[in-house]
Formats: sequence, C-alpha cells, structure tokens
Amino acid sequence: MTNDQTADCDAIDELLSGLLDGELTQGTRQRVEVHVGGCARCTARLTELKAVHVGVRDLRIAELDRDVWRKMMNDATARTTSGIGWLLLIGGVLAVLGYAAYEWLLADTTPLVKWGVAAIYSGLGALLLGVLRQRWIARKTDRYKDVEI
Amino acid sequence: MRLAVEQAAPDGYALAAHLLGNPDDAADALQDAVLRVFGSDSYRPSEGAFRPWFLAIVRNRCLDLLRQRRRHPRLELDETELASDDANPEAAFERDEEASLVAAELAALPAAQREILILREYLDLSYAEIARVLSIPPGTVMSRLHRARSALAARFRERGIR
Repeated sequence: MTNDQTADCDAIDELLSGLLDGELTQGTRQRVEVHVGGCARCTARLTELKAVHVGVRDLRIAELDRDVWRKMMNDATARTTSGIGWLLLIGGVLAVLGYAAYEWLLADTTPLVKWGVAAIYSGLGALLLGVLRQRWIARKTDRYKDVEI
Repeated sequence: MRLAVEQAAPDGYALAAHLLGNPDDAADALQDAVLRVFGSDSYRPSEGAFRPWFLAIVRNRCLDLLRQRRRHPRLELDETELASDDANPEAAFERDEEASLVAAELAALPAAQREILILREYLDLSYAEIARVLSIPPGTVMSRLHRARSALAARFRERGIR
C-alpha cells in the first residue's frame, strides 16, 4: 500500500461511520463508496464497524416492568393533580383573606375591637404556620418515611 | 403528552439502564424524568421532536444520579433477560452468550462512548437527534460516534468477538 493510499484511507475512515448510518451527502457517499470498492483495508474496516452496529443493536435490555410503569404514571398524574389543587386552594384562600382584610380596614368599628380581632387572627395564623413548619421539617427528616410495613 | 411519554419511556429506560448500570436505578431515573415532564419541564413542540427531548431529560437525570452516588457506572444485565424464546435452544444459547460478551465490552467503555453507541445503534436515533440529546453540535456527532465504534471494534478484536 502506498503512502497516498494510506492517506486516502485515513481521510475516509471517519466517513465510514457516516456511510453506515446513511448520514453522508450524495457526493461524499459516492466518493466513499468508490474508495471502499477498491480498497481491501477500508472494506475490512467497514465490516468491523458493521459488526459493532449489529452487536449493540441486537442487545436485549431488561424491559421496564408494566406494573412499575403504571405506578410511575399514576404517581406523575397524582402529583400534577395535587400541585394544581394546592395552587387553587392557596390562591382562593389568599383572595378571600385579602378581601376580608380590605373589608376589615373599611369597617366602621372602634380601634380596640379592630386591633383585638386582628391580634386574634394573627395569633391563630402564627400558630398554624408553626405547626405546618414542624410537620414539614419532620417529613423532610424522617428516615423511615419510605419504609413500608 | 401522556401517550408521547408512554411511547418514549422504553427508550428512556434502555438509555438509563446502560448509563446507570442496573434496572432499579434506571427505573428511578425514568420516574424522575417523567415527573419533570409533567411538572417543571413542559415540552414545547418548537423544541423539536418529543423523543430526543425526553431522552435528554432522562440522560441529564442519569448524570445527576451518577454525580450524587459517585460510583463508577457498570452494566448489570440480568442473564435471564437475555434468555431467548427461540425454537432452537443451541443457536439461542450461542446468540445470548455473544450478546453477553458484547454487553460486557460495551460496559467497559467510558460512559460518553457508551451513551452515543446506545443512542445510535440501539435506539436508532439520527445524528441530529443525538446532537439534541447530548447537547453537542451536529457536526461532532459522526466523529464522536466513530471513535466510540472504533473503541468497541478494538475490544471485539481483542476478545475475538464476531
């Protein structure tokens, strides 16, 4: 084999993958096919690459269990529904609270009653937030939450 | 969307199984990807076909898991899953044995080479789709794929496979 032929083979080598995958332009494909047709080395190389292609293509990988997949999709749907549900709930509560606060500010009552009512509701809100925070932390740090009995 | 996810899921699972090395981790990665699809990462048709977009999410999730677990990925194909239902048990045995050898050699490649081979040879993605999944310029797919094929071909030669 001459140096020119070797240089041609080196230039063609990477294109053999493109030829195998049908990803070359028509002109390049014809050039590569002409070279391979007259070159034993590149023909052998193409055969080698085809063996890799067929070997990996014919692998059989464990299939995803149908029950696992069904559970996966149900989880996804449940989480999406749950997310939308929480969004609507929080939005609704905020809207009602906002309107109540607006009405409360405009209400014609004595300041003592007004601020007394505000303190009661603020206290209840703070207590609720405190409980929710504790529950959230407990949920995040519970090492046994995934244990099924 | 649900139908598109169901159609792309087996490919996502196959990719994850090869990248992560075992079926349980692959199922975890796929589940995370599915949750993302229905949650934060909503698909827009302007981003191209759904399948490569979904595979890119699965791949990213696999890479996250690999980083988190900091362990070398290995392919653990269950031998029973390779069992064939062929009518000729002897031929089936030979074919399964060869498939096991191919799987072992593939698993020995670096993850970057393994994933591009799975995307092209096993999942039959085009170069443009592979570029999308791997987030690389389309022009570099052929050279990267060729290096991976050459590496696996060299291992085949050494082991006398095919």
